[in-house]
Amino acid sequence: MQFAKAEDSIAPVRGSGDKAALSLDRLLGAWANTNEATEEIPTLILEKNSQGKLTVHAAGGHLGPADWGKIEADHLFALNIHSQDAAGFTASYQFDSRETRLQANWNQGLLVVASFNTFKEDSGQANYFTREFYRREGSE
Amino acid sequence: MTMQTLKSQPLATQINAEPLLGTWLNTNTATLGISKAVLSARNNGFVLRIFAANNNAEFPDWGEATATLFTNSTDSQEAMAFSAAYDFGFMETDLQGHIRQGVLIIAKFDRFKDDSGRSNYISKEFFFRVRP
Repeated sequence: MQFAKAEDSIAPVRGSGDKAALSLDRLLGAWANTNEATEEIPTLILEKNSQGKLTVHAAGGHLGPADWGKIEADHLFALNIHSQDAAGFTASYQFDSRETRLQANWNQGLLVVASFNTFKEDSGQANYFTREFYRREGSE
Repeated sequence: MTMQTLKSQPLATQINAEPLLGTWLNTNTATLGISKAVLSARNNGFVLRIFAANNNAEFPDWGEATATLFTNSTDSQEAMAFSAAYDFGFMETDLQGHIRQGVLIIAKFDRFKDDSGRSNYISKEFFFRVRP
């Protein structure tokens, strides 16, 4: 087994080639930004589509469109190399003037979402990073 | 191993990269992940070099990957985050780094492309900067 970090050198818990789909249960639902004054993404809705893929639906704030639309996540990630529970995802929104790449992970009940915003043209705006926290709606 | 070339590469002259540049050591000396990260300016861009913790690993030195730097707002010129990606063939990893209170936090998004049965997973490690 090849590995680039010692932490990845493990005995597989499943048979070789038997890479099971990760469970989405930990991620699915509506997530509300813990910062009600956010200018980024106030709410995120995570659903499973008919193909069993995770979809991401962001409702925008001050700097983007009101509704970012629903897209399919690029990749899913577990909390550790043995886990079968999805606890994170990456997804990319393509707007006319910028690309926003989301990298999210679940941590102790919160969804932590980092965004990497890259402007496609020389608008004078700096590429910027945000990191925001989301609680599951209805958890109060 | 290949490096990912990102679409937009901010010019070194457009952003103050000083908060991120330099050598960063893992706060956990017993890590089995990344022991050292070095971010450098190069040809109007930036490169990240990663060193794995375990000398027995096949890739103790991951080499250099293009890094894209990010500020914390559209009108800021101060870099506080980066992204970079490595492709080892059997695994791809996206690295997401940001500074918080002087500590560099690197999140690793590992995706295995082989038939080992390993789950793709997320992990984070913490680094402090070594002054020259």
